[in-house]
Amino acid sequence: MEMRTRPAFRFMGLLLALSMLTAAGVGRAGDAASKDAYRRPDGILSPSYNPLTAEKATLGKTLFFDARLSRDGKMSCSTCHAPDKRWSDGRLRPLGSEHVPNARRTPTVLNSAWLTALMWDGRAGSLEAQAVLPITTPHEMNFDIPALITRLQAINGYQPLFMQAFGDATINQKRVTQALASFQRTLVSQTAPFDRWVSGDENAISESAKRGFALFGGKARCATCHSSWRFTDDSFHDIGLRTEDIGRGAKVPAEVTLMQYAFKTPSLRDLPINGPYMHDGSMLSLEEVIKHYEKGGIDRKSRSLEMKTFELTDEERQTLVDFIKTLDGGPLKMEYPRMPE
Amino acid sequence: MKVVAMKPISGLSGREAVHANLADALHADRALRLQSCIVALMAVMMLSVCPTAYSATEHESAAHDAFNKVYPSRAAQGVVSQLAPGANIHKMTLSHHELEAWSFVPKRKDRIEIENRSNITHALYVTYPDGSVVNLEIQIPGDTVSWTVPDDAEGEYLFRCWIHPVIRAKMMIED
Repeated sequence: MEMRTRPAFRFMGLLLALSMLTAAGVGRAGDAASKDAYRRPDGILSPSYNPLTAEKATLGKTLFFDARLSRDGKMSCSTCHAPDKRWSDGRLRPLGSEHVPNARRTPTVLNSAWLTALMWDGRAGSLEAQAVLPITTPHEMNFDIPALITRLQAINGYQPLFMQAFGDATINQKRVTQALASFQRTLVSQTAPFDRWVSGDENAISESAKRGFALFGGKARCATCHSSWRFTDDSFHDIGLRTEDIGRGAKVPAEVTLMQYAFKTPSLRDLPINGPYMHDGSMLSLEEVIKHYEKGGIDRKSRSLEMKTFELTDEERQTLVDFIKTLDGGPLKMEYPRMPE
Repeated sequence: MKVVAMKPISGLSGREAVHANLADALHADRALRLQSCIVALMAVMMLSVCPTAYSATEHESAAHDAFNKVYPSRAAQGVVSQLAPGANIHKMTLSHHELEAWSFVPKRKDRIEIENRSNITHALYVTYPDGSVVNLEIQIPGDTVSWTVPDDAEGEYLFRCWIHPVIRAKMMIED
């Protein structure tokens, strides 16, 4: 049988075929490129003024779990940043904040070595600076630094730890905060199924999760802010939540309208599956969170210009949830330190 | 014996000439229909891709309109001061989360124009050596903002973004 078509018709078919192949090729290349953007780093970042050492991390770990860093000796850093709660507390609002207006949910300290702004409103620029805040906050550890230093100096067991970490046994604020920061820098999410997929294991995550990843960087535009291997760019946005808390707006000039009601973009790694989510713990499921972004939240002058409404089907929403679950590498193994006497 | 048969092609307007043996005419028709379907399917797939891109563009455009209503840029308002005699205009680029390195040497009264080539909104500000801050307007993708080096500038000027603290660039101004 011989069958011929007009040259123009054949050309059109060829053009379409080439276009499709090109589009598919670009799609695959783009997919690879976007996956690379989430590749885990090889090492842990630390500032030149406080290079990470095992000795400082060991001291910092002891301090982190020591309740004597609080005035009444009942609360340690780990009370609210608990290893079995993904280094948060699983609570809607922190312990002791019942009468605190606009109390904010406890963020995780996982992967904090890479943070460029700390606290929900970014008021701390480093882990060293941040370490002082919970110790001195009245509804948290409610202590003062001079009194804390005096207390630590009276604990003989701390002297060899400071000696090993800093070369002599002097105990001061700078060393305490540097040690606490060093320990927190060692808290890095474990390799998750998503990481194995990024590394080339196509079977590491489900097909549904892969579709969710495509939506994450596509129609849902989550990757606009939840970027990098930590799934945050540490940016600040008003995402249209109903709240009296103006967040970063209280820390920057009032004319910076976009920072009113703005809070830091949290990481999506190792999320507790039932939340709570958002700075105020106001949402308890990922589906609820996604639906909020679909609707765009309260339309006000400060709302982020990245908040653009979109619509997902139930199936699409589920693929996004499936994808986010692949970012969970499981709890870190932790050996609790012996408290020095 | 070969004949030229004009056959309608389903799904397409017009006709297509087909050479075929009479005995195979029916099979040829089916093959042609199959080919037509494949091409039509590919066309539909192509069209399904194109609207996505177009709607994204429209979305950005809408966002730009909204931005202009709420946050008119100084340039849009025509309030950018005229360039001082002898001063130069320098160009800087803001990529996703970074002010790209520049090679020019800024002088007093020069104007620095910064183009946002990322796909996200930025809100740059400059911190002067005395600690005072000058906001450079909210900058949606594609927008350009400018900062004029003060007449008495000297020392280190720090560019940062209110939204993205990771953006940080120091500029030295020397007389």
